[in-house]
Amino acid sequence: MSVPDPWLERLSEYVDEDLAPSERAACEAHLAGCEPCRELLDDLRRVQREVRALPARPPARDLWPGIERGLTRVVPRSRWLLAFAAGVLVTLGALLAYRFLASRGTGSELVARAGEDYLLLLHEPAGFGNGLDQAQHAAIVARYGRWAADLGARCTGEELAPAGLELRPGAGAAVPIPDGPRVGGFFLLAVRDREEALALARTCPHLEQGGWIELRRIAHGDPQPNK
Amino acid sequence: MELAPRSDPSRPELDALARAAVAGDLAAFERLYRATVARVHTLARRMAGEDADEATQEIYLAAWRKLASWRGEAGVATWLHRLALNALLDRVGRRGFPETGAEEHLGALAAAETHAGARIELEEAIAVLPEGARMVFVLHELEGHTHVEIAARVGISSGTSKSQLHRARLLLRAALGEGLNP
Repeated sequence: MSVPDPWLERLSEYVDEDLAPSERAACEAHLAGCEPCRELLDDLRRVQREVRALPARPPARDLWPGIERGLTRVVPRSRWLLAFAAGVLVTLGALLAYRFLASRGTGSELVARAGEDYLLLLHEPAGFGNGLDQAQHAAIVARYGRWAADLGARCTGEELAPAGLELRPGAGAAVPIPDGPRVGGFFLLAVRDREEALALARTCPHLEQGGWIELRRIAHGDPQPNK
Repeated sequence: MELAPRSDPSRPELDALARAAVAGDLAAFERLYRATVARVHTLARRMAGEDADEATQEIYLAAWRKLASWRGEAGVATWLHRLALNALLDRVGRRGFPETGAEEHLGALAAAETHAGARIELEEAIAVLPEGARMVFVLHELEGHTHVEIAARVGISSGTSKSQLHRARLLLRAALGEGLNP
């Protein structure tokens, strides 16, 4: 062809029946007299047929063990969340610089937002969860996770490992936290106000599991002792 | 888009596994995973390339958390596939949507051509398509979305979607050459 054939660029639209009726008629008239376009049209249709006949193939390695490990956590970790968990364990003061994410999972973006943020500390009585096998434990964690997921980007949280260390001033070495009641996890809620935080906390599955919840507003540098 | 799952267990069987998983049955969720992972991972390979394993694991972790929101109107395989597609689109969206770079991929396409087996060749040829063309190709040709839907979801114009699809088909045609079954 001495001049570029405009239909060569539009044959996919013909294949997909995306052309207006008048264009379709013009294209068909062109095809009747253009061998290269007819060949391309056949090939495009073959590509389409072949691709649609491709079978699904499983992954080369078993991904389940990694998924199963992940299921014992309430929500995916992010760098931000790890930093937050460390802050909870050592001192709530580490929180002062934070504003919560507008959406969970983006990891690094900090967004100022109207409303208040509340920490739900999930307290557990001594022996909480003893005697559960891995599947039963995963089922409970999943229940908590679904509660959080239903709240969408307003809620995030983590389960804490049972073992931990206590550091006291002047006591020298850190010692394992003793058996007995402890904090087993936390949720962070972005809410309008304390009433909403309280209403949501009342629906948290932790209460039905036999734990109790400590509800604390994040001060964000403004303590307001009565809120 | 309501593609029927290609995996073996029937829809009622898969839905029953999903209901058991909602109630916390981890073994049922594992069976659901094994019955559906080929289709999810195939989509992940096409959309996320070498990140397919990681993306697949994230999809199933999200599925476990969100399964309670599955209402049962669509089969769980369809629900899972939608979840997977959205997660993969978000993942690709974080990387940006490149519009150029077809020509340097022709060498890679030609290399893919040398492998034995037309089916594998075709998978590999899809895998090395330029990302923009590959996304549109997968969404249109394999997921059945219209150009208007793709444009809205990916953030390109409908015209760009059409031209990327055509480009992908031309590149696949060039790569497959004789490998195409008449």
